[in-house]
Amino acid sequence: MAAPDFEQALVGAISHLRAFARSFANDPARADDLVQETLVKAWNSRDSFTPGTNFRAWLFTILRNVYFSQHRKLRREVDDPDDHYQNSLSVQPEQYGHLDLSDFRDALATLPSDQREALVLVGAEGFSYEEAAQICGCAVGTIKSRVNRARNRLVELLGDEDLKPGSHHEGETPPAGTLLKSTAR
Amino acid sequence: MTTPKSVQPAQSVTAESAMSTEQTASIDAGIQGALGRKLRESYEEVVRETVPDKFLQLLDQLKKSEKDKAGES
Repeated sequence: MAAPDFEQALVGAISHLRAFARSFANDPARADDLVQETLVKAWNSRDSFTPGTNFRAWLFTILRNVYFSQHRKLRREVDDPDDHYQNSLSVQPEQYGHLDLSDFRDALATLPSDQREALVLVGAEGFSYEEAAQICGCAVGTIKSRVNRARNRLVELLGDEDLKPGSHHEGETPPAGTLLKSTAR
Repeated sequence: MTTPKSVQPAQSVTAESAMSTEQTASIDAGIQGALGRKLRESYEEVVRETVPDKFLQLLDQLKKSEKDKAGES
């Protein structure tokens, strides 16, 4: 790819790299550091990108590699910040009421990182299972099972009543259909 | 949501009871859709954030150092 085209594509992908990086690093500043290092690596190895293949997938693979090489170093030096993050579980199963984005994010944060990553790649970025498998360097079946486990866990954490469209109003009489279901608990 | 509804079709009852016994059972399509929307909403919020200048400055720097190197040799 010619340098100007490459640069343009890279600039266009920054916002997605930042969002993807947040699924690894809870702290936005740390996520941005990850993106910066990814940009340097991507720029320096731009000859290794095959035109016609998925550019964003290529970038995401680099970001993952940067993260995991840093993470191994970090683990040796300090208390693992991601483990701390995982332990700050604030969402309880069977929690009812209005589900806002921060509740959702808290629940997402408690997922094992490999499941969160698979769910974000497939569910939020819209990669195919095959592309996600390539990015993560694992089998397609592994991605599928991670996505499934992530979804099941989120439903468990958030409560399926909260996720149902039209069930976000507290203090209202639930529609007849949901009454049947809540007695099943 | 106030219109009287008939009892849920047998299919969804089956799906629900299957879910309680088996973790890997597929989730109700409505719930899965809602989950997907929440996920995208949460993700898109970050994607839509203004990209800080430091990233573009970094790229300018990379280009510049490459040009400088090319000029030297």
